[in-house]
Amino acid sequence: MPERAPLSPARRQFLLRTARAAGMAPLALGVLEGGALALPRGTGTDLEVLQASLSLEHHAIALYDEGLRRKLVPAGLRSYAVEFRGDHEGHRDTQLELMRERGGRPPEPLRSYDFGPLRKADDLLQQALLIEQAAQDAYLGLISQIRTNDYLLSAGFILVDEVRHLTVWQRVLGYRLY
Amino acid sequence: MTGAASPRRAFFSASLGAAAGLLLARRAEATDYATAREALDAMETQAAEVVARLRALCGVPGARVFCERLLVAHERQRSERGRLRGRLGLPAAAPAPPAQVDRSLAGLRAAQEALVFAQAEGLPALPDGRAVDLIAHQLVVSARQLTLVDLWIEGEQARA
Repeated sequence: MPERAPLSPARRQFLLRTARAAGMAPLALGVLEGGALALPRGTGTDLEVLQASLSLEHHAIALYDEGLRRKLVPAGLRSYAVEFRGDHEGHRDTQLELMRERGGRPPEPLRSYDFGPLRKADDLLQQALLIEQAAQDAYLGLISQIRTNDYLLSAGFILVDEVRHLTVWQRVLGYRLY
Repeated sequence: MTGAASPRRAFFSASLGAAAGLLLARRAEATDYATAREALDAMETQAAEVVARLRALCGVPGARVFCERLLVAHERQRSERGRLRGRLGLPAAAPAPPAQVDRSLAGLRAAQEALVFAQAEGLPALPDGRAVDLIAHQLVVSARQLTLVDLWIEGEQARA
């Protein structure tokens, strides 16, 4: 099997900084840092991944809320921001349900998030790009740790959504796409 | 593949909220693959159709570079899945390409979406974390390609 290319140092640093700021659990952080190759088998593992994922979903929802509330999203892109916020809310609700089924205690959203200076549309779009990149990297990094089929299936479809969000913002910001 | 409703489907049907996105909604209809071989066979079949459609679209002015780059990615994925099948002791897959495909973007989109679904829905049928990791990485590439096709279609509609 081919070895997967590691994340670039800058991307890994951003992912870890975002994950820590969002309140991600230490065990999941260890996997993303590469310090723990695999979480121990058991129901606790899915709870760790769910906790980590919910932290990032709360962060993403808060960013889109802030951008939409302050009308930082350009009119032509507003439908994307609304759609993506709705997707993240769906991811959150699905994973809240999975966590409660397993008897876990879901993380609450933080009282505030550090989005950096959000003065103009480009600031928001850059932050949206970064959080979607972090979400994609986190789900991709953690998905092989998931132990139960219902969550694995959900995580697969959530990952598809995250890729779509990231690709759209990359196009908007003029990144090379293929 | 199984067609009957499973406990998993029942869970998803019950838990879908109004805010769930299109792809989350899809989970309610998810195919339950009983084995890794079933899942990987479905991926090969869907990928073969995408490849046939991309080859057909390569002749469309302006589409050649895009299609050729996607074809390279598909060849790499096919090779990776072949090595995975070998590791799992599964026979090589040789799906027959579709007899005839048109050059429609809608057809390409539908085939690409079916491949994305096969990869996402195949994850629970895989036997270990290494296999899940591989197919999840392929899923990212396929989902990105699906979004690019969507953006292509949006661009064509905007120009029309």
